[in-house]
Amino acid sequence: MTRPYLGIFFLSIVGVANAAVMMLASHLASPFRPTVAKGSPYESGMLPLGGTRERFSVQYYIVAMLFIVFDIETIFFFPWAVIYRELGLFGFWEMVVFIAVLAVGLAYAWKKGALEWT
Amino acid sequence: MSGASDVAGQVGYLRALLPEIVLTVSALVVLLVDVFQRGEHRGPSGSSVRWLSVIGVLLAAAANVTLISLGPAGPDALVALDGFRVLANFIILGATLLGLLFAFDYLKREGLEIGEFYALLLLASVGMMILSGAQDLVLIFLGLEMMSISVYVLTAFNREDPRSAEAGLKYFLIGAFASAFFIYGVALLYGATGTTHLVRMASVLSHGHPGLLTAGGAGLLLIGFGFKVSAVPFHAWAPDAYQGAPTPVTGYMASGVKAAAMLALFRVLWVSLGSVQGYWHGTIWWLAVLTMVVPNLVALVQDDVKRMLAYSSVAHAGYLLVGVAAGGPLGRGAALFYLVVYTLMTVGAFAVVYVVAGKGDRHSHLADFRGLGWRRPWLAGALGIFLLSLAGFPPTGGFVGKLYLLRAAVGSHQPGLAVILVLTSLVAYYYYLRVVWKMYFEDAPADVPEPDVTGRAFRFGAVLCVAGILVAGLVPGPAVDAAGSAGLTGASAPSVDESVASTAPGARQDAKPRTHPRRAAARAQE
Repeated sequence: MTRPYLGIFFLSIVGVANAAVMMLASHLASPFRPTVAKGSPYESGMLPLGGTRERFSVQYYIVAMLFIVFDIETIFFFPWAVIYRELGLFGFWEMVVFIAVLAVGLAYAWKKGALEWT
Repeated sequence: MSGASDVAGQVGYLRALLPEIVLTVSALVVLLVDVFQRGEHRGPSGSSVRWLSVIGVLLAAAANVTLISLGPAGPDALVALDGFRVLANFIILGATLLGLLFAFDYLKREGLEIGEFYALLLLASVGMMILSGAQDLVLIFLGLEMMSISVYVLTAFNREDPRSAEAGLKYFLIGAFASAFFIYGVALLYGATGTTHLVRMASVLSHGHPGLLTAGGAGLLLIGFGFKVSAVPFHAWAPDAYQGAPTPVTGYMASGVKAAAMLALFRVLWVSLGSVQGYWHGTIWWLAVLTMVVPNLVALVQDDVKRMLAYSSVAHAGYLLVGVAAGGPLGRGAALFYLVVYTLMTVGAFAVVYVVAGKGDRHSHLADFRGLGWRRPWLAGALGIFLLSLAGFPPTGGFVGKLYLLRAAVGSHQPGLAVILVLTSLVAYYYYLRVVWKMYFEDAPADVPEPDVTGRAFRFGAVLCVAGILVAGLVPGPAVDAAGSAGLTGASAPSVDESVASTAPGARQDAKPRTHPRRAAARAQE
């Protein structure tokens, strides 16, 4: 019963062992010469300007959530479009219902002023 | 094109899902009406959203009535069409209606009259209806999440109040954790049987050799459900969440959420896992015992009535689990009947508590109930009936419900459960009657705050609850018959009820290899 999964088991062992060996090898073999530039958080990036515990406007989250909702809507569109002909009218109305529910959500968010940046 | 006949078939599905559709549409309408009335304005919502949501629930109940005449939905349907679902829907819609009626006064007092409250309440009810009616584990999970996410928000609805926010956060974190257990259990069961459909899973399990994967899946599923129905030892979140949540929401959580999860648990266990009772029956037995014993003992020392009622509702989950452990038509009928009564008395009791507690829910201490019987006879009378019913006194519905559960436990040859049910109910008398004593036999001090004047909707809801409890207690016949005859799709297989097993030809040989619950229980007791 567990036969078909044996391969996955060995693959996971090989994967973990591989990563462990590489980390260990680089740890043992590499020279260790720290400099100020190497020790900075982003070696070739910008220097940090302040603490990370800053407060963001809550509007960022609303915009991000709306983005995700409609992003996922498009993701649902693709498989639906591929088998649209097989689904027939049923598929059409299903999608109409789906979009209608999302449209209600959009109308709600719009009217609440979630799309305006103040 | 096959489209035309396709759609004709779909119309049947639409009819079978009418209550859920009606309620979803009314939730969306409430949301839109509210937002177009208020826009960005932060003030209270108009009264139209309240009545729209009440009408939505009533329409859904009317749609539910039409389900009765529809035939069975066929074994492959994702949502069942049986008496079990119809009754479950009525219980859920009843809890929602009462939750709405009792919420009006509360929201006004606390300045929380926001249309989203009603929309969330309706959406949570849709989730509950899907949860208790679905026949596929994936759909059950969707219903569970739809219900839970709405109720998390409702719990934290009074966000100005740190207790409400804390309750919401706790409930959310633990609920998300429980959902992970649940979905992992679904994955393992799918791995073991190759299907997530309850009826097909049952036929696979009864023919094949269930192995470790099935046991693990069933166990994880039980943990997930255990959290949702607040069974001991998965109940730790419940008292805090119940105490912190806005009180009408607490009543709704304690009744609706518990009812839906309990009925879904019943369906999953007895439909899909009915043939592998050896894997879960002992666990359910112990869950029922622990959930009856522990919260009843803890409730004895609670001085806050809201928290005491929270523990009491955990204890009632234990009584309901007796019905689940009994199984068969008898256990099914007992659980359904008890849920009807339990919903009425729990929602009602929490509602009276918020009236007495006053603005901000500050005065829910036992001492605040002193002399209530003489200051507010109607309010105290209603609370008295709710408490007596929760305790299980005749002539209330709580008494008949417990009797029915006892009969189910004895009928399935589990007298141990029946004995523990009786003993724990006796212990519970103390903390229920203590409140009654305070209300009638102790004088109120001069500075005790006067409870609010209740609105019309509240009084109507309270009368509904009291009348329902008394009717269920005095003339339980019709409700018992309805609950007892509620069919459960796919549950014809191993019934614990001896009479059914012996009348069905060939059922005896069929039932033999499976672990008999009595033996499972006996093994658990050793």
